[in-house]
Amino acid sequence: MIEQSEMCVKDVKNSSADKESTDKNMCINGTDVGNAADKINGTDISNSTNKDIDTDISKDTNKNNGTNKGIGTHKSNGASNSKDGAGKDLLERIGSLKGWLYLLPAVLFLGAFMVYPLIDVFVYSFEEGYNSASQTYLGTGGYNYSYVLHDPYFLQAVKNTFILVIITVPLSTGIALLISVGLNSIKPLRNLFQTIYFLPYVTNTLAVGLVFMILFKKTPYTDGLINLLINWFGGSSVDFIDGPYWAKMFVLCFYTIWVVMPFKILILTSALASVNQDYYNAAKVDGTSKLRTFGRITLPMISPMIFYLVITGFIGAFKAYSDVVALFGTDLNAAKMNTIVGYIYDMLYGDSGGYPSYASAAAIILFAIILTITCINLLVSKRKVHY
Amino acid sequence: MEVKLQNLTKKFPSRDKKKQEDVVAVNDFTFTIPDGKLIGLLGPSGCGKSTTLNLISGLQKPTGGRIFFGSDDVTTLPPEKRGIGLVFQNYALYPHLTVRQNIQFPLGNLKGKNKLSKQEMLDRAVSAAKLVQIEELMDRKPGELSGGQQQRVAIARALVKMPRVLLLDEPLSNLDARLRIQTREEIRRIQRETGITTIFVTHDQEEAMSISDMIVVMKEGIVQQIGRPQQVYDSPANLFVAKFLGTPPINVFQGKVRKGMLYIGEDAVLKLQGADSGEDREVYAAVRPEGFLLQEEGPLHCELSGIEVMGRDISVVSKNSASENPAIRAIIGAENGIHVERMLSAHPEKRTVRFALMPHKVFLFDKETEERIFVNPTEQMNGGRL
Repeated sequence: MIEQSEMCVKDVKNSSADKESTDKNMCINGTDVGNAADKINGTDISNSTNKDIDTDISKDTNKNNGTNKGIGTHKSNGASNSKDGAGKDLLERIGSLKGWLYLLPAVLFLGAFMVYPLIDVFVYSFEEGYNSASQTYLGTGGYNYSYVLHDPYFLQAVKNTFILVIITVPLSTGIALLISVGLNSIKPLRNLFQTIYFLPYVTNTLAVGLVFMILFKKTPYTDGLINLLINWFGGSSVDFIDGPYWAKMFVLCFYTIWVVMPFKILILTSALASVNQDYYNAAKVDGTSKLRTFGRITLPMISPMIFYLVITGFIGAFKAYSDVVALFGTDLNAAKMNTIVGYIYDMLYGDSGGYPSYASAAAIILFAIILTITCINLLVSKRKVHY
Repeated sequence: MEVKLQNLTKKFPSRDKKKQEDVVAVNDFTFTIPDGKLIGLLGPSGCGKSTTLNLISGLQKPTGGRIFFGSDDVTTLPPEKRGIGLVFQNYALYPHLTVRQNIQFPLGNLKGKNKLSKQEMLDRAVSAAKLVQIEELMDRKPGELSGGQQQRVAIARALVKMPRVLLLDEPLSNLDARLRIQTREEIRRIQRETGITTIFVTHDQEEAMSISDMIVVMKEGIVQQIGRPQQVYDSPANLFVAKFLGTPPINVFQGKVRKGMLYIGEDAVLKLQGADSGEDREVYAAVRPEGFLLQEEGPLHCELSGIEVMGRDISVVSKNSASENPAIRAIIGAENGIHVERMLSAHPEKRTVRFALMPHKVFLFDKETEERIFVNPTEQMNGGRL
């Protein structure tokens, strides 16, 4: 220990003003853990910011309590050479101050634009009849939740959202996986196909919606391209945009899958390409069938990426809104195609708007749903995903 | 299983479209590997040794020539039908499977009448694991093993399906120096125990020399020399082989043959005998580091630059204007070293050392072709200058 702290002191004395603070903090941490050698060398740079805070806190408590814990060993060693000890204290202070200074912009922005609004929404959701113009409310309680949960529009929105999520996430991921595997096994024109598959991703949602309208919408003049195909195969026209519920849901799911697919293909093709060719060669030498290679090697290898896509896919689908607007217009409640985010929007600004309390309650419910699903996903992935 | 390579050739189309020439990775390789031997394919990187291994494994198809395993022509067979076990340089263990699952993986591919029951698969995996001494690691994942242990698992996986030929691609290159020596002994032991014809690729001559029954030295796709390690070391076929084998490397000098005498610089060092010795010509004279004898009256004069002590022996580092190497390293026994040091401390101003050369450690090579000139340097000379 003595040797370590001496090294620290030396470090501080010798290093330039800029380096001092980091060296310092690492030393302190090192003594805490009792394994200074690694840290002194500065191998753990990525952790240094976190540790800055730790050190700072532990130092403060030391000051207040007047006891020496944690960095105590350090101080007592320093005490033998009082001049060094005093200098070290000062440097410590400057070091941790600097750490906070570096963190300040991020903390400020995150606090102002993420943490505060989140808390605010939570508060609004319990304030009945909150008026954002006058900043007044009638009382507090769970009434907002009860109202929202009994609102048939909200229940319809929840139903729609869940159907959308359950259908589109597995389907889009599965199809994207098939396409990626296909892309990965062809050599010529692979880049061309990759580009083509990626095009929908850079296309505006509303523009894509317009195209889908042309494909599916039934007007007095034309039944739309898809109906033309259906007619060819002997079916009768269906109004996909203003027609029966399942037809509209079909279009919505189709559209969502089509929109989210490019990103998934991009991620999966790169994941597939990053699997070391030697694994496939090893499997080939052992006479492994294509199917077994895919199931036992390829899939486990890219499982982290698949689960990443499933989790973000769930979150994205739960937050669907613009897609629905692009297809069915803004009067979603009438079309029975509203989603949860759509419901929140309507409560805030829509025809039935002006109810920020209900909107907040719905938002918190959505938040809870997504949180639960994501936690379940993570739990499952812990068991299924390798590495 | 005897492995016969017949005029084996592999050409790759040139990347550069302007040049029409193909890159020849393996050029007309003909060699028969006797049954049950351990063969080292040796050469610098890019010499085609790995390509040769891939051709034997079937992962690449040859552009010319044939490969036989025993009497079977396997040239066109896919890898899985050849009955080979292949150990990859990075081991290619499946990271998500346990050691047991990794070793069993090839057995799970067997179909039809070869299909094994679960118990049989387990038994075979355990016996393969016992062979490489990892039976206590069966439930770990490859990420939890050291490099040497991973290597053993890879070998067990290659052996579990009882291959006819075992192929190892740079098996020791990912291990540290100490482990490397240990593992190469292990490979030798496993090969002896199983009796499987084994071919391994390496760029490390020491590795190849220490465990192979035979080594094949390759350069730019062309086989330079095939033989038992000691034989290749003692009688290199050309300058490349001489330079490639041995640490410290062989010392190459610009030499001259005049009237049956070998001169290095001005010094007449050896008397020559043999068919070609009558002809006067320019040669490369290559001297193994252990071929120097420190003598007060030795014929070869060198300028001393220092002494390197390496425990068992000592290398005298010196310079000579005729030397191709920047420094000449002569290895002498440690007991002589004390003598050298005493000599140095006694005469610090004396910077010249004189060597006599051991005739059988000196090889002559043609200046143009760099092929070996087979003359017998016989007698050591005592002094005598050009």
